[in-house]
Amino acid sequence: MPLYVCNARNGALDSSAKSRIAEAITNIHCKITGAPPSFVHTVFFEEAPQFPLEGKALYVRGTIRKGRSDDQKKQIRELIRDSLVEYGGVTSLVTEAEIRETPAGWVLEGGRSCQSRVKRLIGLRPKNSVALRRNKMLADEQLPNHPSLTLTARGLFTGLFFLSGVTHFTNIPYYIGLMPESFPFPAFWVILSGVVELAGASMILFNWRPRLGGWLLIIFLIPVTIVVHGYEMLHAEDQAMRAIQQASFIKGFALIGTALFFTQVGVTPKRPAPSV
Amino acid sequence: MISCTCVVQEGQTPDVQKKSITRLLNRFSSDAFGEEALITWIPVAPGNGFTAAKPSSSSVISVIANEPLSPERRESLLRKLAHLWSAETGCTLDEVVAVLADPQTH
Repeated sequence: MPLYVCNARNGALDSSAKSRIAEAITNIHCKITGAPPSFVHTVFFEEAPQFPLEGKALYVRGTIRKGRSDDQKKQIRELIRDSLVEYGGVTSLVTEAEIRETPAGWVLEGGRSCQSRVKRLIGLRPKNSVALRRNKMLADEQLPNHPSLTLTARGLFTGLFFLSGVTHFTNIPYYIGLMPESFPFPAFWVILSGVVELAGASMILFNWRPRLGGWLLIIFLIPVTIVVHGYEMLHAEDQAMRAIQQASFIKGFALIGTALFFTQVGVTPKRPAPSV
Repeated sequence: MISCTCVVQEGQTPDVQKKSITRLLNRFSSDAFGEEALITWIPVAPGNGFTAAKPSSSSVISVIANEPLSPERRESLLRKLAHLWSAETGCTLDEVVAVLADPQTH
């Protein structure tokens, strides 16, 4: 959507005229509504009974999504009539353009409901989980309740990684000591893991590619949880240490779950979704 | 009967495929609305269909339901319809525009 159907008298339009009219209609619709061109469909028929000419040489019926203003619809109609005159080589007396509306929720295009695109545009949260998956991120300023809580949540979640990330550089021997002795190049892995967790935490906290940030934290957490805490949980000599490692092992999976959640829900889109 | 209008690019949907699509649309219509579909094919001649002002490969499938639909049910049926079409014709979902209208409004 939108779909513009142009019905013409037999032979009234050659292929060049059709192409130019299609281009004009696409430009008119996109300019007035802000919709991307890829949504604009234009089809031509000759004396098709479904779209009666009623004495006209050219007739265009545009079916657009409901919600456009009367002024927008009037502009579209008038500009399309002008383009029919210009490119169709006919007078305005024998052209007609009509605009009809269809609720956005009635249309699915590109595998996505047009309603969800409109919701994204005006910043409403989709009602169901399917729509939520399609919605890239939830904007802080678009959340209906307590946007400051989402920032707090990000701060609380990432604080641990900032603290731990910094100490990966300031206390390398400690982290090397946590790793299994058979692990090669331990200092390298300690530093690399510090970089990865600081990068991931920063991306989530500062809302720059937060989904990717979530994946980085997962990449960090899985080996740390399994190789470090899992190993120590089984092999530490001291029973108290084994209990501590067990707690860290379980918390690691909880953090993986939270990071995974960020990969799916994220934080916020910076640009509004295009209109349709 | 459930009205189902299929605007297709001529030559893109061979007659054999139309038969299988007709069968699938009938099944879809029977399952969803308890009635078979009354299918109208509207072929768009080559050079007469445009998307983004370029030659189009899109199809528009417009179905009129026999009862008002809830948003959730409508979206679910639209998805079924689009996937059915895409699977049968081999076109991508980007090339399918599915419309599911309430009765007496189209």
